[in-house]
Amino acid sequence: MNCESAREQLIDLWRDALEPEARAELERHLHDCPACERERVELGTLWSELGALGDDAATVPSAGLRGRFYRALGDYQQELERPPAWRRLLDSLLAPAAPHPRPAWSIATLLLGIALGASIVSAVSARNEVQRLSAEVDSMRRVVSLSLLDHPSASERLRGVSWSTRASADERIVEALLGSVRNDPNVNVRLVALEALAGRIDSPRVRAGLIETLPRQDSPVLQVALAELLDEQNGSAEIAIRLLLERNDLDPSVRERIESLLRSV
Amino acid sequence: MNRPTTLPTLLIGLLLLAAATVSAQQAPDQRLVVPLSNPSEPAVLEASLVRGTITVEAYDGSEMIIDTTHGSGGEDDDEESESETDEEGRGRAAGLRRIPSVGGGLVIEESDNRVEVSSESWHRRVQLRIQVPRRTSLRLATVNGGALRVSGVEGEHELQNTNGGISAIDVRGSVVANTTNGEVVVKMLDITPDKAMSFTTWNGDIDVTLPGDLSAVLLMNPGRGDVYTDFDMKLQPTKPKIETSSKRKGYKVEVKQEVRATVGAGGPEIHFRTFNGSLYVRKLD
Repeated sequence: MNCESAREQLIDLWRDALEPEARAELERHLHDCPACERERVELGTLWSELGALGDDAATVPSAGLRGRFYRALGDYQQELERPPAWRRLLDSLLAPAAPHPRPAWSIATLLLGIALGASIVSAVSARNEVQRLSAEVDSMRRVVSLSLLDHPSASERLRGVSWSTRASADERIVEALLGSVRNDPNVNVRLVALEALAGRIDSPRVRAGLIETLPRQDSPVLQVALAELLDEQNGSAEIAIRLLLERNDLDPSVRERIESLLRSV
Repeated sequence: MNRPTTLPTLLIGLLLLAAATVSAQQAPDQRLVVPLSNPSEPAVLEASLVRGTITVEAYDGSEMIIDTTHGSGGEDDDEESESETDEEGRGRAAGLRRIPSVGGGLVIEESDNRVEVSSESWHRRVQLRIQVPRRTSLRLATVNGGALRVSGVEGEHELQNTNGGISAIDVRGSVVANTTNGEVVVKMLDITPDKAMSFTTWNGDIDVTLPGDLSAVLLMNPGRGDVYTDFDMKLQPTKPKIETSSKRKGYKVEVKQEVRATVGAGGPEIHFRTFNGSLYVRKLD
């Protein structure tokens, strides 16, 4: 018999419910095992004390118990009804009875409010601000472009054309570029302006403007570049191209190139 | 050489040398010296001809020296040599000598450092050779009869020709050049930052040498030719243009010939365009 099974049987021993052989066996183990014997003695004392408790003591509360119970319950309810700690702190700070911390707190709250408000407002208006700025940059580019396109220096006018391609399409820009293609004294500027307009050829105004200027171009470079650009856009430019071919001063190689262009259509 | 007393000697030597060079070339029919109203400031020269060549050279002076040589009149359409036309005229003029027509419709104006030289003569070939102060912006235009040559001038240059080439050698500043029939050869020692430039021809090569520390966006369209360069360039992809037509079935894909490239950190745009020729973009040694 081992200690574990011996201790399980202790309760039966106290209850006097063990078979005689089991009881003899257990007593032999207890005799040999001091640890189990010590437990039998200690727990046996408790067992006998429990047995000594009278029936009344177990079932009938004492007179004082009722009063103690209700007091404890009352305390618990009060604890539940109290506001939480942060609330009590806030209350104490805002209470009229505490005059010193109040202005400081008010100012702090005001500042916090302003800061919060400002950040909310700025977050809301940030997008509008970006839109407004990009619109401003766009209009600035147009202004720069327009003023550069009027500059006496060809290099600056080239820059003007370059600026115009960075701005959004605008009637004045388109007219200015058409004006450059038509009248700029420098062939380079005319050519670059034409290339800038090539990106906007879908606009009817650009197309019409370029078609109109084609027969008037003196420079072979422009004649060919314009004819090639307009030719890519089906039919309606053909008349202008034919008008160009009627010019007497047309360079033979230009004539050849443009005629081959017309044949390929 | 550091002592100032030797300077005049040197100058005289240079002047003699210059005079010798001039006389070795060809004696001009006429020499006009145009003083500038403000010699310490950069000048502007505008010269336009209908027929003739314009040669502009920088020199260490503060006036513009305009040498004019007139060809003979008539319908000669020769390119360079005067002697040829002389021979042509020999038949009736045999045994006679030609008195050069002085003036020849040449008009020169100076105002606030801006000198305008123009010739109304379209039937007579004019050779202009103009020496200018080093810091002079040029606006030169000629139509027929020859080349347009510039050397050593610093400024903002606009050079236009129609039937003839353009050469601008050892120039500084910015150049905008175009011709119809002829090549464009430009060698720049230094460029003004943020200046846009453009080189265009219809028939001919474009050969441009730029400083090695160039920072710009190059737009190169060689038409039927090719682009050659020794610059390190970041080529920007060009989107092929796809177009569908309602008239024809199918679609057309066109890849633009223009090459767009960034050199250095990028910057102003420099355009190169020839329709029948090739592009050479060289790095200055």
